[in-house]
Amino acid sequence: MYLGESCFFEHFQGVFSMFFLQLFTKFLKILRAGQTPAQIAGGLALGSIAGLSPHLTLQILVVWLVILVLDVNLSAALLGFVVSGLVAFLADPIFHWVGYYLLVDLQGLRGLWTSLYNAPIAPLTRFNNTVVLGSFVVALCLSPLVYLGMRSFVVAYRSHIFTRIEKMKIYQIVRHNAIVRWYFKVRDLGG
Amino acid sequence: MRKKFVFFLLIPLLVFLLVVYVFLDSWVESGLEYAGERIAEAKVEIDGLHVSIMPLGIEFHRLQVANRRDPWTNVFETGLVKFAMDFGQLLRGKFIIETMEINDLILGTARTTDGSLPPPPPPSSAPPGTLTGLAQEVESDVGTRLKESPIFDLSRLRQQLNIDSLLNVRNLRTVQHIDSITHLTSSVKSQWTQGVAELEQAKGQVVEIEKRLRAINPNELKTVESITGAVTTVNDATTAISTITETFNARRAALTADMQTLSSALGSVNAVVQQDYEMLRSFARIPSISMAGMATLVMGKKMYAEVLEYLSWIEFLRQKIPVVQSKPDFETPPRLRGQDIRFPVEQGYPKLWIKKMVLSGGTDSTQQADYYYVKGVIQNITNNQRITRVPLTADLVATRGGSQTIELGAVFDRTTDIPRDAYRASARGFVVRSVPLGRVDFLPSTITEASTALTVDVQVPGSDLSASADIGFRNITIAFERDARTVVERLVRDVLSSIREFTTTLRLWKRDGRLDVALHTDLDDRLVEETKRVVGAEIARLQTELKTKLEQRVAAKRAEVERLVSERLAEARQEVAVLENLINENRTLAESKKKELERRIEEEKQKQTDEAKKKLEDAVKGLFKKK
Repeated sequence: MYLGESCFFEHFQGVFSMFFLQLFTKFLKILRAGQTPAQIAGGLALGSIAGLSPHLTLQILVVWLVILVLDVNLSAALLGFVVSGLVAFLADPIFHWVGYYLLVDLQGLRGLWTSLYNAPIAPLTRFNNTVVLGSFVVALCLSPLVYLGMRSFVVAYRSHIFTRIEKMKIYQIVRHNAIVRWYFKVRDLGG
Repeated sequence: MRKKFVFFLLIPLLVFLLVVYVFLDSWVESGLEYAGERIAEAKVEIDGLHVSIMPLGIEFHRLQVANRRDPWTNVFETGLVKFAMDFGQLLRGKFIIETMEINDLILGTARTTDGSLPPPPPPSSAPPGTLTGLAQEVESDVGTRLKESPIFDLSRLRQQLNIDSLLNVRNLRTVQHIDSITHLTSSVKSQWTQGVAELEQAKGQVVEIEKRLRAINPNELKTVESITGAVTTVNDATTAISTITETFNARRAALTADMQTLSSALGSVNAVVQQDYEMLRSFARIPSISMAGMATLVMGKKMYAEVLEYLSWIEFLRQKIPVVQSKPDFETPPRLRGQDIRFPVEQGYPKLWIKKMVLSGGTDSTQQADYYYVKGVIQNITNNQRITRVPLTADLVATRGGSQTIELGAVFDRTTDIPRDAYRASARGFVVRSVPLGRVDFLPSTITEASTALTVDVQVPGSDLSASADIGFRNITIAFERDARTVVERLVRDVLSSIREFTTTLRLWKRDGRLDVALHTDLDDRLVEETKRVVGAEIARLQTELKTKLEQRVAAKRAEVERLVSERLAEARQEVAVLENLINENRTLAESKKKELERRIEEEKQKQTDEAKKKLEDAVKGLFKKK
């Protein structure tokens, strides 16, 4: 029983690592060429918004719908979702504090919250949960910065950063390593 | 825009809806059972549940709720139950039910399986307004009273009563009190000794002053200077006497205060003796002549058991019907969980609101030939009365055989900060059998048959409680388990045998954290009359004996301290009187000397004036002669 569980977790860990490796590789590939910087930055920003929320709420469903409907980069969105999920875990007390401040301490917004609380659909957003509101507000505030920052980074990466990296000795060593070459061969077998 | 996304979204959605449709009934059933078990703290089982979509409603064929106190029986089980829900509110996660119909409700049915749940962890703190441990409090209070009821067996009392052992000196407050008076007397004595020494010193000074005053003989004083010197001496003596008088007055005031303290301490000895007597009487368990404990003794056991049963249900309901707090505190929830903040709901609905529940049913007809048929309405069952602004009410009527009726009503008000519960019940036309009376060691007996009428009224505002129950027994037949062993038992038995009806009233109230119970029957007067007649003399004799021995025990010490105190008082009074006399005498002497001296001064002045006049006349005469 224990052995079986152990094997399962090892297998799961392997699949999970592979998924991330693939996700990261795809992301690096896209950084070099393919979709526009705006699509990559948009995917990352929207994925970050979804990832920072701890619960599946109406607004997060809407964000995912937007990600799927708009032609933003899915790898970037997934990467943003995963990374911001980790950030959300660490920053949970901050989100809780922000949410509590907005919902309870800030008297000016009390009327708005009460109206929303009485609105038919709004409760599905769970806006009255401190962490949900705190994380969503923080995500909305940060998303323009993420978008602009990422777009500038992709442009810069494509124009000169990647060239510089290619010239680095460490890159040359890693790139011409037998294992890495084998990995690329296997990876490209599927086209 | 991704076209494939439509398929990506639609296909899982359809699969999801299909799964929900197939498993919805069992999910809802499990959810309701789980929620019910959390409320009832016992197993809740629902059979044949079906959720209808249009109109949205639920019906099931059977519901069993196990009794948490007796898990092999159900509190109730139902037949067909059906209700419809408000779909619009359900979208918002609220269960609003206009009317719930419950058919064939049966109380107290037997179970084939154990209905108990694993015990939950104890709550960290009680919510505000809960009657925590009321049943335990009553158990502790009333249980003690029942155990402490006086012994009515006079022969046993006589055998067990060893007055000499009761009169343990260490337990008697009187002895301690007298000892404290002795200590006080010693302390006062030392103060007096010091005071007397001061008075003796003052006395010496007074004697000295007296000598100086007596040495003045105004008639021997010839010159003005000598008279003036004597006046100065008298004035000095007067000043000294005044100073000594002030000291004397202060000392006398202190001595008077000490005397009063001692006198009052002596006066309070009688009160302390009385307290000791009451304490010893309680230890000896000699009953008072009023026999107020008879009602508790005869009816207490049965009533007490009933009260405990009902109080535990009141306490259970008080805890289960929620109180809503107005402002949320900042909590520290687990990570990624957050805290839900509630806002005022305008014309809104609570999470659950069953506006009207119509029920009908009764006790188990398969187990009881003469089963009860119950019907009634429960209104406004909700998790938040602040929103509905109406209290939960229940009105039930149960009948049996057309002649017996029970009416039950309850109001659970949580619309304000202070929760208020009220219960009322009345029953009439009931025949009771096997109602135990007395207790194992006093008149064990049973009411084998009687018709009863019962009225119960319970008010539970906040953490207070006020309950009263009147039970009238008519056409009573009593069976006694054994012959009377004592005089009192025989008397009580005679009274009980002769009566055909009596009324018992139980009052239970808790105010400001203090619980009181009073049990009264109109049997009391009759019992007291009979009992007083026979046992009154014997009890009075025992009481007198106890009191006499107590007084003998303390008499010696009391006489000693009284002698000591009176000696000290006499001594002090004598000293004070002597000095007071001496001071007064000297003051009088000083005043008389002063007057004499004043007279002498006047005489001397007159004399000198006359001499001057004479000299002047002589001078004038001489002048005329020369001319």
